[in-house]
Amino acid sequence: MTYRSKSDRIRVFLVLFFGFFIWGVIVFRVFSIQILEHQKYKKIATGQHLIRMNLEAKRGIVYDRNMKVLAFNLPTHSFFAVPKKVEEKDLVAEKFSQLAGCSKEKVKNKLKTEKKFVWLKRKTEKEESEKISSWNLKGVFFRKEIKRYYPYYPLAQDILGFCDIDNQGLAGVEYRYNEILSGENGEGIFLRDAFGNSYFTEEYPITPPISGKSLVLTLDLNLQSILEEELKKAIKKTDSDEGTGILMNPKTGEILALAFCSNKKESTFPVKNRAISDNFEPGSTFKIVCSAAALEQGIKRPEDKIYAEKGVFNIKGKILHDHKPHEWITFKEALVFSSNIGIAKVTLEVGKENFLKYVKKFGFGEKTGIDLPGESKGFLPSSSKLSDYTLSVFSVGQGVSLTAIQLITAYAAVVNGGFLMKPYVVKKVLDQNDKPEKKFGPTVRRRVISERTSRILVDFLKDVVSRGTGMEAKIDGISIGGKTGTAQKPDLVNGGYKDGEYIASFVGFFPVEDPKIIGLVTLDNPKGKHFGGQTAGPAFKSIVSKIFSLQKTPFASSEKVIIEKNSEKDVEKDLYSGKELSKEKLLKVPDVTGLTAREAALILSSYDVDFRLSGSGIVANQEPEAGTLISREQICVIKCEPK
Amino acid sequence: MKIKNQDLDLLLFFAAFLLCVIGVFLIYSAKHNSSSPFEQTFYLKQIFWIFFGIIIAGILFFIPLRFHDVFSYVYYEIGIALLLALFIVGSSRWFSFGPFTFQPSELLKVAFVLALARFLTYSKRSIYSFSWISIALFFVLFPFLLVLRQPDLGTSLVFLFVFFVMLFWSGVPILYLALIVAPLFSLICALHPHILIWAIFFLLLILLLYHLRPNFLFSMASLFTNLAVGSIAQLFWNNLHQYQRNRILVFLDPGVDPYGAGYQVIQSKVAIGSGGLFGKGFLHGTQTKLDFLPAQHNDFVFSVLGEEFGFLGAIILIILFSFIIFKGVQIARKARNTFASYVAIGISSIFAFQMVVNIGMALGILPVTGLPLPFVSYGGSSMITFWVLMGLLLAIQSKWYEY
Repeated sequence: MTYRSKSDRIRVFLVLFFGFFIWGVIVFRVFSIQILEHQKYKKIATGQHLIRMNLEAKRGIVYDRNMKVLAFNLPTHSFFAVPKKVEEKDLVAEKFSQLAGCSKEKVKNKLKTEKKFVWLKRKTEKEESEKISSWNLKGVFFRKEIKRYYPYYPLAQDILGFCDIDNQGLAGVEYRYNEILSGENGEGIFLRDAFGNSYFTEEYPITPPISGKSLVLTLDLNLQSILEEELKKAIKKTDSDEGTGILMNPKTGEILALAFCSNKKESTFPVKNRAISDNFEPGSTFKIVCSAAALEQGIKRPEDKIYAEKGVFNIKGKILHDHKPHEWITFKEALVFSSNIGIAKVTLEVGKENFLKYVKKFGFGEKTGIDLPGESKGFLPSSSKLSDYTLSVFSVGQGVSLTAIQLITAYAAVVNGGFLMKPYVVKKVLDQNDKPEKKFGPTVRRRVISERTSRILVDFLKDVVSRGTGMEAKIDGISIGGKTGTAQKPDLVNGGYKDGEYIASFVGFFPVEDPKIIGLVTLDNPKGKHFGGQTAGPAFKSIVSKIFSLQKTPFASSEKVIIEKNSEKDVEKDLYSGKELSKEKLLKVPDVTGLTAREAALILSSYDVDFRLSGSGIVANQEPEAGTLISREQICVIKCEPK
Repeated sequence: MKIKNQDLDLLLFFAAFLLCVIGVFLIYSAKHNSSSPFEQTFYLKQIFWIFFGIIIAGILFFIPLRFHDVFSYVYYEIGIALLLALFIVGSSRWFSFGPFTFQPSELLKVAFVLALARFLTYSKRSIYSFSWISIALFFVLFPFLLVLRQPDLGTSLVFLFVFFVMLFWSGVPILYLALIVAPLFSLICALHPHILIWAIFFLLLILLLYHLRPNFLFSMASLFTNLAVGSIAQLFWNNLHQYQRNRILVFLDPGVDPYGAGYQVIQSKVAIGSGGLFGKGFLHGTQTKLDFLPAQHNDFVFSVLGEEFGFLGAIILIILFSFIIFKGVQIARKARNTFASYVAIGISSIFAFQMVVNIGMALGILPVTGLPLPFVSYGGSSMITFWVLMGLLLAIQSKWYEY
């Protein structure tokens, strides 16, 4: 070779040197990455291709006592954007700001962030989600999420409560029984590819989510609907600010219906259940305590005469009035005509300590223990501060405050033979397969009065309706008992009582012979007629007549025999048979496409639509279509296809 | 320098063949669960190219080297013509024939080695003459610039490297060689933000010229070229494609763009690093399987190897390459004539350069230039080219060859 000479050796040396140097560098580098830094890279790789995913447990369903669905889960689509991939930021911002009703800038700012992921609109239902999908926006994706859905919303919302966006209960039953309803979220480790798709892998086991358990409430949807409707009517009619209503089974303490309504614009989801959290001064309904104490202690017999001071009773310089002056009345009449003076005199005879004992026995000043969040205790005046006058006022239901649930529970004890029950709203817990797992039965807190006293008081209360202050609640053919109440509202700012502002109330029960339902209606600040007997009484009356119009066999006293013959269970079945309230003869078919067969079945049955299911999986189509009106005889055909 | 006639070097052949087999497995692993059914059959196509390549290598084995020697300039001209034709077709790198694509720059490597070998063998000019250096530079700059223009920085650098190695092999003094490649350093120094670096470079250049004392014309040309190259460096930088610039920047600091060009490097290192000593096993490379590796069937095929077969697999591959390169240099040293020797060293340098650049890139020690790993990476043009080179190499050392 031409130029090879003495420098040849240097040349070969250089080649070898560089060759080995580079070889060494590469081998060392491979060694360092694969052996020395192996753990570090392994960790990065694991972080990239393995993802831990939270598997959302299915929240339990809430049923009413007739197994109508009050709360269930609706599969929805939640839309999010990957800002990096969004091309037309303006367009996306415009479309979604219109949907959410917020400013375009707000959405746009979201899209400008460095985040990899921003929510645009969560939990959109079918129509909206289809609309969004049809826009075909680049960089906008969706993922499936479950939304809590209340088919009868806002019916019974005070009891049901609601959930936050992550399906955690925030109020009512949803909150109180959150643990049971929510189940346990599972966890899965999935392989993820560079495009974000995930795959199941057998190398890593999945902890499947445990579905929440379902609840059967003591609530009766029909009664609840009647209660809410009538309560609203009464508020409107009497121009009250707000009203509370409770229907309860006096023997068990089961809450059959519970509602709070306001004249003001309703907030979408009530945070507080005011029937159990708000305190009010009861007025005359509280007179039952004194009556019970006097009978129990043998201080008075029903026919014992009391001088009612012609409506003006001077107690050591302080005057107690009756709204209607009486002279000589019997002890029974004192309650029937709601004489303040009569009751005050009996109370003074019973004595402070004795009276207070019965107040406490009836559960005032203590929580009833109802299984709903936010219950309050009410307020009792302390014994040491009670003078004869304040004791008298106390006995007629002023200067004491209590909750609606306390009052109705006390009355339940009066009419059920003397047992103070624990009110409750959850009857059964159903496991994942809808098999009853746990039943909640009636809980007796204590015996308050004897059965004899109870019978006498029931008789008193019957007379209240038949000839006393509660006559406006009277219904021909139905034996109703009850007590009216009209209380002045305390002025919390200036002290004393507000002029011309009252809380009118009525506690009633029927049938008198064997009370099945006890109810309480309170109306806050009715204008015009303000007596409980004139406002809350008629409201209770219309509730009762509505309930009876539901029954095939009217619940009249004349048919007492029938009722007594039947076992309680049968009567109950009869009383609460799930008859449809809807006055329309035609039924509207709900949209069930996209739901699972089970969910569809639940919804259709709650709409009283007869249906036939075919196939399994997801509802692909329904015949007739959603929204069409069908007669009761018509059958809706649901075709399902596997996912 | 006479050596004994030998049979076909089976070891060398099998080393190359083994690399091909490894390649097929890696391509299968990278693409067997691809969402595109077309990509799933890549390994089958690769097998076809391997056989096609081996047949061509076999044919070349029986053609006397003399023949190539005579036609080398013709090859070179055809190669250049094809590159120019790309401009006419309007394609950047490839000619497309239906489902097949052909990359002329690959085969131009072969033609370039043969043509430069012929020039170095037969030129009677003094290496210090201006005409010699002009012609030599002409040989390299034509393909270099055309390929760079495509743009294919990696392949264009192959030409520069092979040129440098063959000149070195021809016995050009090292300092003189330094003078020839000086413009490249001028370029790099001029790009440095500090002007002092470029000044120091010129000082060294003048010292070098003083030491070598080539003729006046040569010296002036050298100075002028270095000055010109340095001055237009900034211009050149601006003319680089954004992705090329990014690649260079990212090479200097992969953190600059973790989701862009740096992503490939980081992902490659993660795949290789997570493989460990023995690897995750064939078809069990999670980073490979889940598409975290970009270009895993061609440019980053080494990462697949590193992940699935670990340090052991990587070392076996490196040893196979080292063996081929070592053999190539041996053949160059022992070749019976100068032309054959140049061809052999040229071929070895291509193997060496592509292997080092490709693996270095996968390991994050060299910039991402997109050069295939010889015999392993997916691709018809490169596979055939490497078998052509292998065929020539085997022919040079075999007894069948009588010049």
